[in-house]
Amino acid sequence: MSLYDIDDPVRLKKINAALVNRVEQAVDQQRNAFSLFETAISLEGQIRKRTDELTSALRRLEEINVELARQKDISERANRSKTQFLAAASHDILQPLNAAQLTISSLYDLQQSDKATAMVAQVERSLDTMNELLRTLLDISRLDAGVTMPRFTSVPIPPILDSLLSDLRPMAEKKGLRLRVAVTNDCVYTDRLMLRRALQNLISNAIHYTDKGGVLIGTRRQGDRISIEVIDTGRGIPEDQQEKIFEEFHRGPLSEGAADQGTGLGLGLAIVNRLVTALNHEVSVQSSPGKGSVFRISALRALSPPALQNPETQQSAPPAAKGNLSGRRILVLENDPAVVEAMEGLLANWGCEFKVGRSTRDALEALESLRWIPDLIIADHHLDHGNLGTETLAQLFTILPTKVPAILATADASETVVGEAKRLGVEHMPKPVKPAQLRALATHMINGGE
Amino acid sequence: MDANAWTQYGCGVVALTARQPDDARFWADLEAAAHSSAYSLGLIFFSQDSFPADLLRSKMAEYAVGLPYAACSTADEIGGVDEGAGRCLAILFPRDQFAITPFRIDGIRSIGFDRIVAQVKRERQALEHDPAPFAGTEDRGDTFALCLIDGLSVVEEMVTAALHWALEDIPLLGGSAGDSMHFSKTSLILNGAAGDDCAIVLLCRSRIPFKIFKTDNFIPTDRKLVVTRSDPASRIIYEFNAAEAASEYALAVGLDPSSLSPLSFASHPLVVRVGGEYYCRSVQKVNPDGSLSFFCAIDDGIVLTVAEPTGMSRSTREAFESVDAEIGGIDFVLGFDCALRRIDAQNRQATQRINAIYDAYNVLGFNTYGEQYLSMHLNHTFTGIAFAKLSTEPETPS
Repeated sequence: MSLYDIDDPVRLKKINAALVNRVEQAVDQQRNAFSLFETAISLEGQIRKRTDELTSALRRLEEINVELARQKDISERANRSKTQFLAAASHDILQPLNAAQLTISSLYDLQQSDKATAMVAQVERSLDTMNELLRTLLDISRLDAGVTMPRFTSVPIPPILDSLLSDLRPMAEKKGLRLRVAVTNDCVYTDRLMLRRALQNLISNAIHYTDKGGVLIGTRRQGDRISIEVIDTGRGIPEDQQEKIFEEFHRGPLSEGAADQGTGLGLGLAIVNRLVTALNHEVSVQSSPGKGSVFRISALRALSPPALQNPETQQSAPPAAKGNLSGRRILVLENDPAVVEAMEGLLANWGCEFKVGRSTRDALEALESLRWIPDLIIADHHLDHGNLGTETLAQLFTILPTKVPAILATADASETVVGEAKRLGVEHMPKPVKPAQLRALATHMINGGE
Repeated sequence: MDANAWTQYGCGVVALTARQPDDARFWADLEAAAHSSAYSLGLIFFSQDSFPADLLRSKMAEYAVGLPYAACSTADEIGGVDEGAGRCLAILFPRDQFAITPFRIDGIRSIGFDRIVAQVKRERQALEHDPAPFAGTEDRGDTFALCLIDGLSVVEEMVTAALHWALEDIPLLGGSAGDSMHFSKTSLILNGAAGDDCAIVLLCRSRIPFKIFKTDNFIPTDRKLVVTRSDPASRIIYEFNAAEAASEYALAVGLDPSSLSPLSFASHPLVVRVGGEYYCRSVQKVNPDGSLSFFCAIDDGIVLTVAEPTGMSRSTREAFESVDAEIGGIDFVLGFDCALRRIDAQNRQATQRINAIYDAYNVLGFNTYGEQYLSMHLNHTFTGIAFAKLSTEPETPS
């Protein structure tokens, strides 16, 4: 009997009720096995397609995210290891350069002809440029690697600029530029040396890229901040270049003379950027091509006047006294053969009597049971057998009957070493050492000791 | 005949068959295969009338030492040599082409949807994070999932939906384990641990290109049966059209209510129309009270239509031809074929024709109590995964 042949009203009522319930239940979406089956089928149809699309889109996104994170990690690691390597290698990089600079100085003294003298002078300038370039690169890497930590104090602005401009004014005058300062007597919460370095780069850049007119350094207060502005009448920077100039080795077109002077390594603003970032200051530029540029460092204003400055000016080169080192006894503590050789040449030229110690034990032997007392000790920090220059000096000082002046010449400019030198009362001289500077300092210290 | 008991297909998959549990050659071959470490997994389909699960387990422990394997009891095996009822078919997947992660979901009647999803997702993550599934190559292959599930668990719909939910875009295919039409107890074994009320899921990576497909055949008639009383939880229909289910069904298909058998259900399937398509709802058996037990979910108020399963060999051949063309030649097919399709074929003297098709395309598999395809649990259907023939390489002289 077919469904359509049923005429029993009881059965028809029952069938009707079942169908009604079914319809209502379908609307209620009760989750029994049959509705799961129905869902499965409809899933196959419409929803599935959309779910697939969504799923694959999400998966692609996930994959892209994972890949991006991986790439970021790789590049960060590479960058870290690069900067760590450079920071760690700075001593080794500067050591041979130091040796070369010392040697070239000796060579200069040996030249008879003017032509040879000129050539040696040229090599010396090239070495100076290389020295400057390497130092800047190393400074950048130290900043990147977080080795250089700012020491924040309240620093007054005018004294920084005074000392800076005494160095930079000759450069401006040579180009016939006016160099003016109009700063308020405010203080900045900053690291004095790092801010000075940043300003030095900005001002010397301004001078380099300005052919006529001048450079003005001014300040501007903005609430609790202050900005130091370096305003020039130079050729300006096109808008599309204004971000790139803070990248390494990016430099604008120089006037003809400037390029010959070996300036403009394209690192100046890169290091400004890093210094300012490390100091939590901000640097910005406004420029209109053909008219000039304004570089601005904005920092938190320090409200209180600075505490007494420690006499860091002492560190700047002493007056080049024309003293005579002839016959003076110099003890050199150095283990690098190239540097030893260079120092030997230099000291021989100066007519010094000298001995070389490669380790603490060597140094003690050199004293010949105090029969040979040096007038000056020049020490490297890293000696044989892991001896440190500061340790060796400390031992020597306990033995020597009088206080012998000493110079700690090292590429290691870490706070520990500088502090240790200060504690021992010895002069810290960063490597590479320039012969003229060394000679001047040595003369000053020997004469000052008498 | 023994010499042919070991059949190797192009991709390296091996089929072994045994008619008796004491077939020494079968066990020696399995022992050699296990010893070679060349196979990542053995998939075993067995008729538990002649191969009791415990016997199979102890034989596997004795001979196939170290070979991971998943096994289930069936309503008959498909493929391999020596066709005929009551065998044991072992399919070995070579390690260099197939990386397989098998796991078992226990207590499926009570575990619930969410816990299945959680378990499958865990396994899936492990699979996806395997840095190199195949030694010596960066090829990770493509992924599919197989499931073997207790065909008397009455929860295949829920389990299939949960598996599909957790697997997302990984295609799922499977069959319900049977017990040679006794409807008493099935057996599923994973690495020596046997049980029912469980499902074994195999997450597979294949370096061989594959395609999943299904085929069925029935033409609906105009004879309708409305379910007026049922127990969806146990899949029992008590009444069709407000009359006793078995009698009303017999009346609709023109048979004597007392003579209803699997053959009747195979010849006169019931289908339900969902979303414009017909899906089969197969009757498992007649109960003494005149109610009918089903192989799949049913509910009150659903309208079943009597269908005629005509043109089985034609529709089957066409399905295989289409897949064969699509993947550029079939190497072998892992197939799950409804037990009622086999019975229907026997009844129509179509067994040879169907077997010829299965032989031509190297179908390995078993006759099921239900077939899983993506998110669906189906009946009266063949679901399969076809593996492509690799481009023929010049033969190396042996």
